[in-house]
Amino acid sequence: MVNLPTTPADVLPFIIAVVTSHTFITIVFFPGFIHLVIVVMFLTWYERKVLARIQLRIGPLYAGGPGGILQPIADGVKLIFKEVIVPYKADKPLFLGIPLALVFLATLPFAVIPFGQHWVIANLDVGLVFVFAMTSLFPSMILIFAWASNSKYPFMGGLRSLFQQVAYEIPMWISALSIVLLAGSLNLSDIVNAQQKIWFIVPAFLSFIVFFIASMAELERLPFDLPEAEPELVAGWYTESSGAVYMVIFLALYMKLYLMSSLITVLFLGGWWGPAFLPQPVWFILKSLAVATFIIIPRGVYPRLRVDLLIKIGWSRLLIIALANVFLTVLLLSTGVLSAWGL
Amino acid sequence: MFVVFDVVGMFLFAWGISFREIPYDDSLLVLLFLFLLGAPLAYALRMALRRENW
Repeated sequence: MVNLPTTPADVLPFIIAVVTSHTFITIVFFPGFIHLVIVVMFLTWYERKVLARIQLRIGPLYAGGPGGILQPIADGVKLIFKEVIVPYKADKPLFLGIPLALVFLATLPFAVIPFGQHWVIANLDVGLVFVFAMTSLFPSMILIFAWASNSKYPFMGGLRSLFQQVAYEIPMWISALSIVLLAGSLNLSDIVNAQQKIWFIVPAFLSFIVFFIASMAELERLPFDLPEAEPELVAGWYTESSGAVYMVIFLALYMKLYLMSSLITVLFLGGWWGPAFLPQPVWFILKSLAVATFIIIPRGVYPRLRVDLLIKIGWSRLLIIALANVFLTVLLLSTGVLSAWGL
Repeated sequence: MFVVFDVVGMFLFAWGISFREIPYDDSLLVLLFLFLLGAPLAYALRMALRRENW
């Protein structure tokens, strides 16, 4: 607790106390905004390298030192200096404001994601619901942005995004219900602590599969990238974005990729738990990046699904599996099969 | 269906937290409710599959 300064002489010690406080460090540096921006920059470079390796290409090479590691910075500088073109009769405040709202929505859930026993900004008792609440606002924001662009391709992309995320949100929720049953809490730190003896991917493997597939659909990643299908919709809901607006949208999308990877790590992969030779946050980041890798890989491997198949899989397969898994989890808990692991 | 499952989902989460504290009989009621919820879902899926209209 830092007391407010009462005299001018107290101002400098007050500022030093604030800047060196745990709360400030967690919000600004780790696991806050600077860490997120660095990871997002890394992910943009990493995705290109992984896809290049899959397709027997080299990938970024020239910007910076080994492997074109400074390519994200080169991209950022280029996009910042490009002109932002607002389409004719577009709703300018929404067109320019919604991308910032998307970054806000992608960043805010990290406040409740525990990167270590003491590395969480806000240890909310309803952390899981908070994360779902924030991510479920994405489709509406995307549709508003698409509408504000005043162009048919973004609007069709926005509608597809809405349908897709609505179809896959419910299986995602229901599959997370198994984790709530196992941990008995919505607090993400409690969920991680409940996995000290066994990661929840073992007793809730079906949940993991459903959650992983639904996450890919929520992230609009191949084979679920219908909202931005290039041959049909140019670039989908962000077709009309350019320059800094495009950059901010991509920042939000990659933050969401990292968010979903982190959430999978928390719910199924034991969060920060790992052998003691590495600090807890390092284990957490390594696991999240491993999950992100498995989300990225299908982009270089699988073709895009048809729209009707996409919706059909969500409602008629994943939802049924998720519901069946709730019954299975109740059965496992009731019969005491998992009691050896303290569950 | 989205609205139904979205609203029901919230109640299920509340049940999920208190699953260990409440008697199994009470949980059976929730499971029965969940099972009954499957009936309109099955009907909707049947209609959609029949028309191949998603």
